[in-house]
Amino acid sequence: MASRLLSAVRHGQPVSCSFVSTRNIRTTTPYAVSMLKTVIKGGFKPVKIPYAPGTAPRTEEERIAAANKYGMPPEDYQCDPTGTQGDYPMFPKVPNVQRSENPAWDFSDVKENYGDAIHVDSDWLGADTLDGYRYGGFGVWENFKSYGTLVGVIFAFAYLYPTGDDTRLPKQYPGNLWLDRGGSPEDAPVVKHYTFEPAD
Amino acid sequence: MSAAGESLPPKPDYTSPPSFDPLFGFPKGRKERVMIATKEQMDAARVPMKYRDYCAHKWINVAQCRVENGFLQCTQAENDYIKCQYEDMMIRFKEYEREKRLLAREHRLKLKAAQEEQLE
Repeated sequence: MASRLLSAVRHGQPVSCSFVSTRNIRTTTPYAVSMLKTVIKGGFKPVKIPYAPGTAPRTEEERIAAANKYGMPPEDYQCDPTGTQGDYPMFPKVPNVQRSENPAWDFSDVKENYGDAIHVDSDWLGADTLDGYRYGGFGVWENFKSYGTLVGVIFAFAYLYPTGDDTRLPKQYPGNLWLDRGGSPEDAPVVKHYTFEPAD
Repeated sequence: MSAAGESLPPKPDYTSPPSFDPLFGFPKGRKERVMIATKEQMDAARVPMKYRDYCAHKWINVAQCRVENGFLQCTQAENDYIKCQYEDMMIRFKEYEREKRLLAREHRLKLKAAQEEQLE
């Protein structure tokens, strides 16, 4: 099944899935009219999107119903086993750059036909992104390199920038804190600190 | 580098207090720095060792004001303390500069004496 769909997508043949149906396409309504309708109906309500994926099918009947919902033959229908996609069908992941240019696509810039189902990961399968198969994303080592570079640059700047400690003599404490640190008054050193004002 | 390095004056050691006589160059003497807060006051106010410098009395003022009037109501006391610390830092800068110039003077005199020995 997968290889058949894969070749179909690669060569531009239509994949049987009426995800975008003409029933959902309608002309625009004037803003005032739609607002009036909304007010008459009793205000804003949550929109029920007819093509939003439902829960993942569990039984065979639910599976067939889901396949019919997306207009697919039941033997071709396959949903995400982890259930994260709901009942949205799984397709072979074919990036845009791997699709053939020979057939006459309905939309040649994105290499898609009218009515084709859109892959869940279509945002990173398009030609405006890197090839998802050649560039598989970041792993632990790449993340470590990025983080290490950031931290390393910060520490390099901290090392390079002068602290200014070598432009002044040490801070003067009265009696060098001898008494404050618990020293005996007999052994206290004689420490004198001066301002830069001349004595009168 | 050797000849030029020998003719350069040494840099002050910024980890140690001034090495020259503090009254040198002051014929009338210098005013001494005065520690206003006593040890008993600082112990009563529980001033940390780090803050027991010549501005400790203003540190105590800030702490006392914060207890009495609230943490954010002591702008005047805080500014007084910051100004005192600024003066303290300026003294440290000036001591470094004095050390640097006296070292240069010493070095200059040494070079001059060596030259005179060579002439003789």
